[in-house]
Amino acid sequence: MIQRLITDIRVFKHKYPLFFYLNGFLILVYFTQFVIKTEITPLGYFSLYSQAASQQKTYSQNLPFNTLSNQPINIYNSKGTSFLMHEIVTTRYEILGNSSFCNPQYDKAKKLHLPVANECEKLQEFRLWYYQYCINNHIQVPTFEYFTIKKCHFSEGKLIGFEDVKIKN
Amino acid sequence: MLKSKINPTSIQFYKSILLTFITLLIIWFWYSGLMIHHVWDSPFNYKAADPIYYLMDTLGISKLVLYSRNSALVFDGLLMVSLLASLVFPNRIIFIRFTAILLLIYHVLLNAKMGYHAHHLFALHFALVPFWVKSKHFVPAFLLSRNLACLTYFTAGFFKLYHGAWLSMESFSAVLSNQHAAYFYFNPNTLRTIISQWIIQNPSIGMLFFGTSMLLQLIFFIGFWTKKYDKFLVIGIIVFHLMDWFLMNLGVFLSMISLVWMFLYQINQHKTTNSI
Repeated sequence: MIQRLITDIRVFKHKYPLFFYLNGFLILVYFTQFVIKTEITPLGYFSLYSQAASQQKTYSQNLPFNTLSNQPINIYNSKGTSFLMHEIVTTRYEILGNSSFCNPQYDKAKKLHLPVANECEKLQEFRLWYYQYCINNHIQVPTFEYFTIKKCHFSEGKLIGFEDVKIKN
Repeated sequence: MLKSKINPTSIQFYKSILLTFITLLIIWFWYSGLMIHHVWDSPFNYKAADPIYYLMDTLGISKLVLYSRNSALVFDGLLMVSLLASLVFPNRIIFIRFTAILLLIYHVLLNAKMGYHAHHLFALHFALVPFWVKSKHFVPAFLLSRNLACLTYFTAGFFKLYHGAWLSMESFSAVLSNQHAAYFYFNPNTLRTIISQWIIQNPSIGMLFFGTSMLLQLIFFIGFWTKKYDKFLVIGIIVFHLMDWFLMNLGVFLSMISLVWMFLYQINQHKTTNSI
């Protein structure tokens, strides 16, 4: 089998040199990204859910929140598949906000000599931007003064509690 | 020409199906508020540690597209027009190349503006590669893309096997509870809620689902060596993503079904004279 593979590779190199080197380059890029664990490679991403998760008393999710009615706002009524964007941006707001210079990959990017900047100032505009994004996605929101993002705790489909999303930076 | 378009052994047939699929997907994303002009002013500009994002920034592409809502709208419109042009003029390779570049820019900018590097759109790039090369390079490009598709699924299965979640009885139940924390609250009576909660209450069923999905991904190892079992790989891709959508509510990953054509097309019958 290995002998056949080596022969195939040799034939491939001879017949399609351009693609041989392109293949080699891609494998090198993937391998490098795998070793230094940057986020782009599908190799890293698809390891999602591969680690064992354990049962918890409550499960939390960041959600847009109406402080007048003290209720989280339903993102699943939004248009098409945009609820996914609402799940992601509210979670990432917390993760980025609590990372050094608001970038979880800041240190790694620095090590790779990539020009990284402090993104924290921009992140303070999140609430206002997200309010408008909800409106654009046909999500029913209160007036801006009653709109915020909260970490909501659920258990078996019931809302157990909620708290402010804590941002360090 | 028309005959080749409806002939499932013709490469034109697969190209038309793939481009139609991507066009419909982009329309769906547009409707869902997932185009660049919907998120152009997001406070996120997440590049992580990936050189592609920095390259795009250095070339000034990000600045140009994200200059204003109108510039982002022009970009989204261009992507749509380019896709339609590729469909209407399937033999003009220039349109597919242009589409491929715009799709890559779309992918990178969308990720940067949502603050997270999501990877499901990779499948569109992989699936398109054989069509934007010259016809003499079709065969190696096809093999490259097919191997990348196999690699993607196989490594997903491998990491599940390696990290050991499949050995934990409660793991998948916990993942489902976490995934649907708010969904259960807002949608207590949907079929997804009822079935997910049943799985949560029966962790052994969850373990079985997880193990099955891991096996579905691991079988792509066969795809590197032979095309004999491609029909099973096609079923594997479709079943995996339908379950991913139904159980995990991750419908966006259905875009990866675009890879299916590479397991349906009979490359052995491909002639270099075949119009690509």
